[in-house]
Amino acid sequence: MEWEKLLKNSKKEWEGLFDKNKITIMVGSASCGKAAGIEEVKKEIEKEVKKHKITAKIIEVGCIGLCYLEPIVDIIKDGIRISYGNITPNKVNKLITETILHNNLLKSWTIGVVGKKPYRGIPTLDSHPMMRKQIRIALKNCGYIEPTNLYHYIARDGFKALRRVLKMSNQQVINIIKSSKLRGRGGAGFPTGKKWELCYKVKKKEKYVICNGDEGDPGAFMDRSLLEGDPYSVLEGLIIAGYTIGAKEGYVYVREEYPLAIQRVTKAIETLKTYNLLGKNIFNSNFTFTIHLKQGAGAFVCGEETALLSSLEGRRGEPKPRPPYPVDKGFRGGGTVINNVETLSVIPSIILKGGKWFSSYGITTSTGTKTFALAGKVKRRGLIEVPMGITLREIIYEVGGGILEGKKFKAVQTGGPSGGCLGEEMLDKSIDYESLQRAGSIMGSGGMIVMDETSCIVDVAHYFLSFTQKESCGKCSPCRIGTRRLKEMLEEIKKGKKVDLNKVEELANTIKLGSLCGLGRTAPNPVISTLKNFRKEYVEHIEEKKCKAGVCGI
Amino acid sequence: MRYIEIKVNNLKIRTPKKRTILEVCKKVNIKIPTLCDYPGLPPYGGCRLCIVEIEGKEGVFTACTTQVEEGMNIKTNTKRIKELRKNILELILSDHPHTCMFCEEKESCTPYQYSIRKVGITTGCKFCPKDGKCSLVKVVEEVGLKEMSFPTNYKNLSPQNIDPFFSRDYNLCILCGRCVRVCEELGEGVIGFGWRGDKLRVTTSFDKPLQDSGCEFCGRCVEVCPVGAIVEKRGKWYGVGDKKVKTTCPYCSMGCEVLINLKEGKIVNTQPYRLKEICLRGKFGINYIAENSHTRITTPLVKVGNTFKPLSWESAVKEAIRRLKKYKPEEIGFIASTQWSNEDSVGFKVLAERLGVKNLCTKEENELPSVNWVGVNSIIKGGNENEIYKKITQKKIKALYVGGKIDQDKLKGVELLLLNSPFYPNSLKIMHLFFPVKTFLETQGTIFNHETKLRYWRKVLLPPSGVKSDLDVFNLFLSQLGPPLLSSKDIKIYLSHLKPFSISFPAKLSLSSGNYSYRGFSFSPFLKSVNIL
Repeated sequence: MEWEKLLKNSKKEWEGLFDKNKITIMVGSASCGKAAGIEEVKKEIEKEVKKHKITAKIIEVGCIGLCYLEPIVDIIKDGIRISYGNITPNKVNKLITETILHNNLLKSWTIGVVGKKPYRGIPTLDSHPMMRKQIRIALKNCGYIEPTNLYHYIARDGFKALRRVLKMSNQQVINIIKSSKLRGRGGAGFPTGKKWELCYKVKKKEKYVICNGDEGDPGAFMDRSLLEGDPYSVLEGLIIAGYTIGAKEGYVYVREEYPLAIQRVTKAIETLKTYNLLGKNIFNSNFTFTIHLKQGAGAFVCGEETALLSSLEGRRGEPKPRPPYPVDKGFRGGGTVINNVETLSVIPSIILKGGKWFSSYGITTSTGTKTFALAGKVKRRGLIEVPMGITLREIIYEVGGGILEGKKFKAVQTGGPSGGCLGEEMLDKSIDYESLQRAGSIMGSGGMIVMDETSCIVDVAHYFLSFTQKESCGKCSPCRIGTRRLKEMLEEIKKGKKVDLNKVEELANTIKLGSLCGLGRTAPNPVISTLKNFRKEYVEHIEEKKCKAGVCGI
Repeated sequence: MRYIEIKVNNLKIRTPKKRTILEVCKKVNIKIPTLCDYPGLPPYGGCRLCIVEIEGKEGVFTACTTQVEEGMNIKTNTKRIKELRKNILELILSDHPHTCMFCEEKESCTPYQYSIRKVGITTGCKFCPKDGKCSLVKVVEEVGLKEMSFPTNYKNLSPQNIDPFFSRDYNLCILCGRCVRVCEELGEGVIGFGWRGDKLRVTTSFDKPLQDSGCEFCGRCVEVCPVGAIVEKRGKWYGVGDKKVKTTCPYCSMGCEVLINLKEGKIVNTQPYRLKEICLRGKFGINYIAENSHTRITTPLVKVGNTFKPLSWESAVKEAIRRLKKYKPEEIGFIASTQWSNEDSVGFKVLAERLGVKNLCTKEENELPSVNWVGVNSIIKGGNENEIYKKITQKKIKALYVGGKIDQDKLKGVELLLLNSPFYPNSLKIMHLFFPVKTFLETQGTIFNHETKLRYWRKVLLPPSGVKSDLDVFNLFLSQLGPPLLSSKDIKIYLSHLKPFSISFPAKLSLSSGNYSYRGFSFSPFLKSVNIL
């Protein structure tokens, strides 16, 4: 289909949703919504609509991020889209009859108006306390559109960036990305523009771009929500990356535990093929590109890029020493760029609005926005996107609404099992790659687990260490054996036995310094950071045989 | 620029590019402890003991995987590195029985540790059959680890004894991945890692026995294992060897060189000389030749009536010549063994010439080209083997002198049969004179492999007293026939003029390609009798 026609159809379909004479019901159908029971709600809605002979279009949308309010249902009536939270099946009857038939907006059930203006006393969604501080670049479409509906994506500026890129030189694209100072959102924070440039300059015939969607941190779901809620933005980013470095093939590596993401990405790839947005001569240019989806087999370590490559090549997911770096010698020996899902999803926006625009958010060393999966003991949990440089206090108390049940804040774990546990004194420090690292944690992919006084810090460290210990591929001895020994030491402490904390620290540092890949090098972080920030609690376990939180049962 | 300059511990070194730090340090004798590294295998970076510091770079680097760069300033022995190495080694040892390394009685006990054991391998502190060849022990000394702060964490896995030739006890495995890499690089790739974390283990697909996984039993994994995890069943009972002799495997024309370990003059086991050149035959099959002693006879035999009578060498050879001389030269056939050395073959050729025998051919002993197919055929330059059989049926040839395996059913009508063989052919009904000769293990000689490369057979074992080499037997014939004799110098000159021709040979051997025989003796690798536990 010609671009103009495609654009016209897209606009028509998208604007049609807001037709004053039509009714559209949107159900939040990402994994979070499904877990909260949206399937039953949807069935109930279909039943009610039929019963009352209402002509309404029911469509599934992704995750808007307010996961604590799931199941979420949006109703578009009179061209106004209003979001309703906590819609359980028994509330559906009232919701449908009141809002659609009786024109009663049920104000107390609303979350907000999805739009620019308040409506009949209902504030906008953007003014919702969880949304107020957010800047949505990666998540711009998440929860707003039907994820696999190409028309919806195109109507919201989709593929404009790719069309623009195809008229640029490779170096021009690299320069835009470099000017944005975008850094890898997988956690390590390598400058994306530099990575692309390195790979572009590598003299290899075969080059590949790979989207790393092997998000495995417990409590992290940023990439999942993105792939489920807006797969096209990730794919567009991947195609742009492919064009820039001179690749003909791209891979999306998604962990097997994300069936919905796999299903939606697969459908999105198929759709792009039918519209010739993938394949030969995309947009009548000389550029040819295909994308394959590869399911991971359930190993955490495959999020590490060299292990991911091994897995992609059909071998055991085991890391390799770098150098050689994947840009020089990666997938099948070719030059390979591996980018995280979130990194790729912001690429189209950067291309359209410019590097300067992107770097105007955040701080000088860490620009732009970052998504976080806010979980744990906060009032408002969910997926958020905030500018870099924001403080933990702002996230926990403003976006998250503070600690549940009025309890006291104790710690926050950033960066998942590879990150560290930060205490109260870190609350007012800026969140960026360097400051988190200085505090003994990492940015990581964006998991953020808030703990209150009922959590025992030794137990928390033990939990995360058990995870990495089980998920260690076992190749190198410090990680394979060291994490096991460290875990055993923590078990002793949990029992109130005498353990030399200096020995614990020494072992943790051996693992950190001696391990082969990122998994091992960061595995002891929860222990190191808690020993640094919460040493008192360890001493209490050992000396007084006391677990204040009452978790360890001594 | 092909050469670069680097510094290691402040020592300036000029080295070619594209070398790893470990390779460069080895060259100049700077010791860096390693466990997972093995020459010829791809670097792995798993054990983490070879860590070094590089000035100006954060963190530590494994010497086995990091390539040298111009101006690199490498420190292999800083305080931090030494401490870290100790800690890592301590971790490795915490997953491996280690009382033998730190026991107070170590010094007084060690000399008596390596002995023949017919008790369970877990008795006392003798849980390991590595017999003083353990790399861990050496590394512990190199690193200077004196004590352990962790208890042993015994994995309690059952040892795997079901396969022939070697057993695997993964309680002793340190997961260095040498066996996995050697199997992938040079073997069949049948073993790999299974599970993850501290459950990681070397295994086959679906954890099946090696026999059912396509293993060819080349034994390379046994060779590279640094600890007692993969151990040859045979050598386990013999203790540590006291002598190594390099010789050539006699089973095929590949002519792989092997090292034979001896203890008090007996074979302990065989090792490949080059890791690339070895298969089941050379690794596990050679000792069977030495052990086949029940078929060895030490005096020549002559058939009188229906029985064989022992004779002295003098009289036996005299009798042979007497009986041969009853026939015209054209009624005599000489069949050479392609498992002879070049020297034996020259002796046979000269003897044939002296007797005027023109019916000369070589006999293939194997389904594969035999070990000295090239040498023997180049020397004998005989006719077609079938031509000789044809002449036998036509009664044109009536007497035969044979050097190896014989097809009995093709010899109907032969009136006189002389045989040189190390082994007494029990099943051979028509034989008149038997000359017991040395095996390749008991004498020296040269052969040409299929690529015409010269290989040596060296004296590994003492022969049973009384047996002679094939060449000595032919010399005895010649000396009884009268001068000129054949001196070793004559043979040397003869061979120096020889232009051997190469033959094609399968690039890779598998278990099913060819049988496993040496001069009439065959061994079957999968018979129960071979499966020594």
